Amino acid sequence: MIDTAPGPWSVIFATALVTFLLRVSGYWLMARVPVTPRVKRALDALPASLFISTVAPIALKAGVAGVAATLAAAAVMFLAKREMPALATGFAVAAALRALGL
Amino acid sequence: MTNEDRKPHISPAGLRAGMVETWPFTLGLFVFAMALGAVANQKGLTFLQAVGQSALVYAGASQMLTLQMWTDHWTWGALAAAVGVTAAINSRLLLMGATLRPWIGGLDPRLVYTSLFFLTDASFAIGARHHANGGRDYGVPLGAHIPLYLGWVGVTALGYLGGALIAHPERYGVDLVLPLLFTTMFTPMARRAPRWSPFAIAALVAIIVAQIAPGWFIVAGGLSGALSAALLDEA
Repeated sequence: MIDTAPGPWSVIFATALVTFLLRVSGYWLMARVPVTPRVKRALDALPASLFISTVAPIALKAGVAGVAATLAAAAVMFLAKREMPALATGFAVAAALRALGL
Repeated sequence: MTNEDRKPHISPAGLRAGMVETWPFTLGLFVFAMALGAVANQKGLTFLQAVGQSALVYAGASQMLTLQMWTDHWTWGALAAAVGVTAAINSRLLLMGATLRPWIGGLDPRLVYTSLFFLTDASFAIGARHHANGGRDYGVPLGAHIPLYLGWVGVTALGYLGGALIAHPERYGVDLVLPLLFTTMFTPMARRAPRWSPFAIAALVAIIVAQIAPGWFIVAGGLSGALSAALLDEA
């Protein structure tokens, strides 16, 4: 039986260790998976998939202002292909809609 | 594209470019790390523990969740729960690391594995954009690691000492910094992609999973997108 309770540093070290293992294991694993055309397509689609998977639920949770701001930023980015105007538009839309109480 | 044919390398210009490209992330980083330090203080961590958590775990969302579960009387069960939540939230780092293999597989493993300790959403985004534009300079994400790491640890300390100066970040639209930044990263990648359906599937899965298992939505959406890209183009 373990009769000692873990302390704060055990929690910090344990969460640090699991995070580090996750950081290295994807890279490590991919040396052992043959990169077939199919795997290559999956890896190519992965970054954008991770981005949209982060954006969609967070924007929805932020309500009308969040969704409108995200769509506006995407539209400006798509047309103008520049980050600054896209971000500025997104924040402006969010601020305006929130000022209106949305 | 002959992107994968060229050799990976690290250049001083790449390191500098990577450092500079972190600037759109600085506001979000500042507010998040300030809040983290303030919460750590309020939850009863010592200064050294608060700074140590940021320096060793270095993954904001999981650190915040661990702090939400923080107690004066840790048990092994509570520790296991904290590790489980941390693994769920940070599992996206496994997928991010996987995308690096075809790109930097030729570099010195000691350098690569050391650098992976510093892998974050922001440095991943900066590196992925560089690579998607045809670049092969690993100096870009390496350079990004430097200000991001120092800023994260430093501002956590500041937040611990400065207390709850930023009590309700959503009032300033700070809650939208990450989704808007990622939108600007996503849009050009989607524009170039052979088809959009994997991303629609990824978004849909992420939205559904966020309702059921909030810790898992990024990894569930990311995997569905990658998987559908692998299967759909077969036709």
